Amino acid sequence: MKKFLAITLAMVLVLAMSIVGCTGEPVAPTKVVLGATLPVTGIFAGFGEQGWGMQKAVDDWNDTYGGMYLSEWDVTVPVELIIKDNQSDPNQVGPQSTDLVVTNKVDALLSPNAPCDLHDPTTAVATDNEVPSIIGGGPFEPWYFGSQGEVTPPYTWFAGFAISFPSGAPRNVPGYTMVDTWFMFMDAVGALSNTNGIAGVFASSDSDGTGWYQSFPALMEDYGLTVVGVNETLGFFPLTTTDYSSIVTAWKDANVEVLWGNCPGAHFGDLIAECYAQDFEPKICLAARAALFPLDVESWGTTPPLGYGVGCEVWWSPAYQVSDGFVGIGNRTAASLAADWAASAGNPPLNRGIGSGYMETQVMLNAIHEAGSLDGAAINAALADTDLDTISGWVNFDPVTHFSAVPLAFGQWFYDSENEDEPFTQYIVASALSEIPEEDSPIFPLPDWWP
Amino acid sequence: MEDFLVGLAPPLIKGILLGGLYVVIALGLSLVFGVMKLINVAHGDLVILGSYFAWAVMGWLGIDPFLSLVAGVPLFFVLGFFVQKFIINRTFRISLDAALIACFGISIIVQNLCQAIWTPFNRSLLTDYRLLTFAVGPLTIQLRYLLDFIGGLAVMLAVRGFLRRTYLGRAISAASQNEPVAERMGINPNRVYSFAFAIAMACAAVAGVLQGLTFSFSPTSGSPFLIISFGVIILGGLGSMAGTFIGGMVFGLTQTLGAYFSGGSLLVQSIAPYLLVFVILSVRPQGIFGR
Repeated sequence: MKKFLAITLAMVLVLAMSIVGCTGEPVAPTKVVLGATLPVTGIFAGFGEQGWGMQKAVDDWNDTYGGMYLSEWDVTVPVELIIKDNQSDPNQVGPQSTDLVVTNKVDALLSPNAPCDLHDPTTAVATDNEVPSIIGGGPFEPWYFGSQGEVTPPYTWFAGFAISFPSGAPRNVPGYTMVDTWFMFMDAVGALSNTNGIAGVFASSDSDGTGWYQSFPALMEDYGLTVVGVNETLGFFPLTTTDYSSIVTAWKDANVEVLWGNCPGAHFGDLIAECYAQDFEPKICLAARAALFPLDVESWGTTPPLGYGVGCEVWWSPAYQVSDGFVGIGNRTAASLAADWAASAGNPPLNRGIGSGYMETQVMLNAIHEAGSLDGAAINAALADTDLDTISGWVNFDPVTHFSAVPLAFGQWFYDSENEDEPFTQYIVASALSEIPEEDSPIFPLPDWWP
Repeated sequence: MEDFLVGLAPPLIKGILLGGLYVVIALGLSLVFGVMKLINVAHGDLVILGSYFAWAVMGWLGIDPFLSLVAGVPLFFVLGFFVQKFIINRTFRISLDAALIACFGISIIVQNLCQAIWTPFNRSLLTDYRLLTFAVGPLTIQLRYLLDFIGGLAVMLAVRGFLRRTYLGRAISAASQNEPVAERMGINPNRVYSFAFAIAMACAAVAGVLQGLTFSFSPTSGSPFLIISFGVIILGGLGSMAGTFIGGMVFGLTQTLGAYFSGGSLLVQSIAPYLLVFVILSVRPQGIFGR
């Protein structure tokens, strides 16, 4: 009997406390917290430097507006960004994203422009927990068709570039996809008439490279190139590969003049060194992912400068002008963002990913401001209504695909033997958009190994 | 037939030369296992530390990476001696598992140390001669791979000679064969272990230079080479220096010939040596030269 009375009394107390608690005034938030898991270390560390751009956007917002005004509470609170290092390990992305939501209680998630393994798990966490998230990169298709078996994960939005135009994309003009910018470069150098049209392809066996190997050779064939060895998976290699001599020999035997692929920078460095050792020099060399970051290109060496003339997509440029719709937070311009990056610790060479990191954070901050609330559904609804000029261009998501295309161009690495500190500089050599001017003429054919 | 042989020659040569790099990387792992029965999972990271040390000295002093070994080998030797003396020997008192966990700890510390000091980005030892080639008849030999082979052979012979011809070397061998008896003969096992680990570290310094001349490296590059080293020493025989040399050659040849006979498939190239490891494990578990 005593036990029954004790349990009953405890239940009444708990119920009473709950009722009192529920009738109390809800507490206004004291801060807005954004979270991101980035490859700060590991083989994709170049992508991790987008965190600098994300933090800059947060700093700009706090400096410009004194924090985030939340109309639901009529308060202005500071914005914070939490970045976790996933060490370029896709297996850490999901648990870290969950940790950001559950432990750090972030109000929104950000995902970098990086191989899809490094943002797909965040999409799953965002969906499961109804936390809004943005991926600021590309290409769009691996995420769209690969995320958790759903056509469009409801809480994730994608601002970046695509391989080719998805159905319903807001902008269906050249200058926003890999296909039109890369083949624009091929047209510019007359690849079909000035080479023998024989192409070799290479890709690493991670998800990004596998997706590339499955889709691009067919596009190259459609363009008019003859791609050698695809049925035998020639050029498709595991990340543990230490010897590339067999594929270089095969390309050489097939008289390949166009080399095209997608792999991490370190692996491409070993591959191109083998090309040099076998005196196999194609007329065109395009290396998605590998040639994105200057430190990777420098690591391939200057004796000879193996990166000279290697091309890849360009996500962002300090030359973007406010008058063309490339608008940062407050007085921020693309040029000032690049200048601040250059002045940051260690005076690093430009990493174009800082623009992507800044842009997606800018979009998320704008959505939270428009929602005036930290409710996930409200922020998600505001993201759907986004209509914003950002540091990377206009963002306005398609309601079905959740995709907003931002401009893309094509660049090649130029070598300057006089500049010992930064011997390689990437210039835009093909652009379909008048607001992104070409900065130099395309390099064709590739210069001699020893220019 | 002549065409076939001419076609076969490049992958044969490449496999043997590349095997030299695998030998020099695996030697330290093999030595530590042979003496202490400890799988030093930090060995790949210690090799990369050797690459970074050479890269840093090259940047600071502008000297050749091989010259950096004048400082690197003694430094790594001393470092290895004290790591064994003050960390691994103490964990041995608990259990072999504790020592293994200590090696995991060393691996994590070395990786993060490299990232903190040298950033996570890819590096290479960019010497003027790194990509030089020369012709031998119809064959083109790449200098960096030839250096790998010479380095592998030289280090193997040096370690083997040391173990056979010096008092300390024979003490290490004795302790590895029968520790209680060796102890009764006046050999201090802990001291022997410290010297064995020190020699393994010195090997890692040399391996680091050769690795950095041959491939790009980053703080996390050690793991793939650790896995290759396991394959090499399983093929050759755990703890055997000559076996490690043969294992390295076989591993390199299986890779290049696998790619050659599969029409250049790098997937086959990657799988072939490990299939051979399975075969060796099932037919001769102690390896080709193992006892």
